[in-house]
Amino acid sequence: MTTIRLMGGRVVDPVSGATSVRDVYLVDGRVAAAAPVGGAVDETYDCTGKIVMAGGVDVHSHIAGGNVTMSRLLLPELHVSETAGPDGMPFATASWSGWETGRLYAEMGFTTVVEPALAPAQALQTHLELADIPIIDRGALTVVGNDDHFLSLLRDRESETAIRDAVAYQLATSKGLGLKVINAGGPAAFHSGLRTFELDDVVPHYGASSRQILTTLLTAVDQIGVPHPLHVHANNLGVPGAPKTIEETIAAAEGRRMHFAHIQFYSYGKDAEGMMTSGAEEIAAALAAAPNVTCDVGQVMFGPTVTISLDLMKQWQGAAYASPKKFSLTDGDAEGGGVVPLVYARKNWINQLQWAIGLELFLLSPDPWRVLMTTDHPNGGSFTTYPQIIHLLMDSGERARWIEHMPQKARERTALEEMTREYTLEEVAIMTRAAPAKILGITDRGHLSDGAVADVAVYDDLTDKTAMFTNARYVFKDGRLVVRDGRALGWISGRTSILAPDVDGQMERRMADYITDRYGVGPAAFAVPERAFGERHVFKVEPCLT
Amino acid sequence: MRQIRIEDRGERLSVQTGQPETDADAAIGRAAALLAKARHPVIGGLGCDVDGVRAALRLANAIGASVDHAATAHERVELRVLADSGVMTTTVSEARHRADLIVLAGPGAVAWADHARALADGGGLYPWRGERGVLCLATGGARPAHVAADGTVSALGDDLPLHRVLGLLRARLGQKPIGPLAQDGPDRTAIDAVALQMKSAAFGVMVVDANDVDHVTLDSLQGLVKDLNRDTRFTTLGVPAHHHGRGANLVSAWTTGDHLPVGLGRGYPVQDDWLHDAERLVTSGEADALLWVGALGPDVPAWASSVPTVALVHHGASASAEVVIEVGVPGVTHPGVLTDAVRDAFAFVDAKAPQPLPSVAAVITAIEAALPGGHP
Ligand SMILES: [Zn+2]
Repeated sequence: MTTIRLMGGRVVDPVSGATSVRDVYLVDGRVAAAAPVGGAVDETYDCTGKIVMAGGVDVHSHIAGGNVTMSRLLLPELHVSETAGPDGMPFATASWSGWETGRLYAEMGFTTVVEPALAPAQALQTHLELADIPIIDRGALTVVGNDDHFLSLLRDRESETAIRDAVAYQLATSKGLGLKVINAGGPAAFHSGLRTFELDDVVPHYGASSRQILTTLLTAVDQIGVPHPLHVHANNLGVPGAPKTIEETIAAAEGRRMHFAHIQFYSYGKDAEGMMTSGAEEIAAALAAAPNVTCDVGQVMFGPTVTISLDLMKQWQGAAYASPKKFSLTDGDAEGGGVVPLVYARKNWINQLQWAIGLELFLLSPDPWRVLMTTDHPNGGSFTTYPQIIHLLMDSGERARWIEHMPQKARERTALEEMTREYTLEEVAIMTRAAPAKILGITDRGHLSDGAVADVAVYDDLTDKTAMFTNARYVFKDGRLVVRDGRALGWISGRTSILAPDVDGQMERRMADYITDRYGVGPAAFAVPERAFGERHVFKVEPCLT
Repeated sequence: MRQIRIEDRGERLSVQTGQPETDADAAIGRAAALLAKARHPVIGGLGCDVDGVRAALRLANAIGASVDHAATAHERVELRVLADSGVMTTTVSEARHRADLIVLAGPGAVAWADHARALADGGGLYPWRGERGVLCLATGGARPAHVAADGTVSALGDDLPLHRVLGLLRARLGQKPIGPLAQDGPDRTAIDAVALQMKSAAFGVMVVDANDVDHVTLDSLQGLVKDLNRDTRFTTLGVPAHHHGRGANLVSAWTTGDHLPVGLGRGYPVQDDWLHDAERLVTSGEADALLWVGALGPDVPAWASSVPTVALVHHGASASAEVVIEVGVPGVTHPGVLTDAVRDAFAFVDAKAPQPLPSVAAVITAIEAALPGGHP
């Protein structure tokens, strides 16, 4: 038995209790409320004056898979490696590598990250990449709703049961932790030449509307018992007027649980001249009125980045604004993907407005349990900007310093300047730990209750929140010290959390026939077997709801 | 140029999995010694599965090696064009089912289509698809025997280089004038007819083999496809790289951040097509040791004879090198993960005829462990 004592820190964990100075024990990889009776403490870490929190959980960050690797290949100039890494940690400083991703997340105190776009036809690549991200635990959301097989079921008016079984098959074989739909029907319509797609538009040749795809999947998620609500990348991303789309989508859900990805990109209103304004208040009101709905923000931060999305329609439109002037677009077997580089410039009033709208959404949030922090990495900015975002939310003075640089044209289109709210550490702990873990259905983490996974971040209690959250003083993963003084100590391997829903035998045979017809190879070519990872023990099965 | 002559011992050793035996240990030990004492080692060939590439990159990091793959056209042409100006691509199965126009650009596209037969039938998942046309551009007279077509196969520029044909089509599609045409080449009417055929497709797919083109030509081909997407849908399909070149480069991308070749001599990856080109490094004398990985081929090249070489080869391969270690072949003698050429995605493949040979990953990991200061 190994017992670690984190001594005298201020524990910020609203799940296990009010913030207080107390000891936290880590016993054999689990959190213990008290020292084991008669057990000796093996190691003690003095946390006096420090903040103790659960390890961070990221619900939506593009860290692995074919499109992420496409972005690596498309944009070498954005990620030139320049510094040698420490001994014993190969590729730790290889810019944009999976190894660097794991290290940087861990050094910020994040211990679980979910890749939100697992394409079933490319599942093994995503899982190979995830397994090569060190230190942290991972998961991925299976993308459904735009593939020919699914759309054909809708066209042929197959039963709810058949659709549930087909979706469960995709989830199980791709080893996803949840289900996601991207611009429901939009990418399928793009393959057929359409360039816009609204909630009541119909996918050519299938007769299925976006609304129908969405509601069918909402039902399937409940019937399969997926703990994470359907993860929805809605129609009209980035379009001024999209708050209306969000409201209609919420209405379409009819009270069923639903998670909106990167809602900032839908929070654009328009003025009388059709120019972009903040639609954050409208979105916040819609969220407040819909307790069944959660979202992550997708905050925009300044600098060059790359957008990675399976929303082909949006990416084709965005390609015209690519900077540098290049992009890739893959017509895949279902969605495929588009990779478009972009610069969010401080001097650009629209980019400034996007930044402000994201912060407005946080500050208008009706509930930290329902509005989560993401940058939709790397689409709104890198995950490494999380400490800055926390700083902006906790410190109105810091916000004011940034707002000073805002062009007038942006300032008059957002209410950010008048907002005085400052996030508390408790709200940050909920928004970046407890809530994402709960929403993902991985409830053994995100908090420090007795028996929780011993993923813990210890921070110096600094007024400079950027500094505080960039480099954790200590990070423990499964009770092992993995970061000290803001530096990762070595490579350990985490796990990839997956669901293993029952798959109906008859649907398995139907899918085998379909796959063979489509690809000329059988379902084995799509499998993600444990043996593909050699000696490594990669997967952790999480329970479905019953 | 510095020439190093070492006697060719031509030793061939098999390493047994599970139970190490003395000869195998000796071979690993000599391989490790040979690579460890090199000032600038190179890992080349790299025809192996995902775990083999992962192990090779780790070893390269430990010894400061340059790493390259034998599929140089994929790296220097296809991946370069991707980084220079981006690409539009699709999958073989989408091309098969959805494309109402298959354009075979260059002779390699025809050869691949006939060899792989991936487009030999027109598919049938999208019943609304119109008739399937097939068009040959600059194929030197080659026509496919195994590509499904409704009607006759059309062609343009059999006697012209591909870059010229692409240039003419781009000009006419953009309604730009073209200069005087050669007497023996296509006339304006023929060019316009092909341009119209491409514009009229609902989902056209242009197939090209990177071995047929330089990066300028491929860039122009991608430019033509992007132009066509203003009015319709068009995309491309690359002929898969040989010896698992695509898979190896993808592993490199997520491990090092970028494709091959890559140098790890500075403790961080440096991608540079010229600086870390395996053949150039060896023949120029800059490199002083070579680890050749040829589980999936190719054989050790002739230029390897100028440096001390460790060769990991499949059974039956001819290899003359200082240390030759026979390894298993993924999908044949042992399981592994490879990109599936039909789907352009990774798939786990089982052993068809298991043999007690070590995997590339096992041998390379053992070599790394046997380095001075390694962790056996
Ligand atoms: Zn996203």
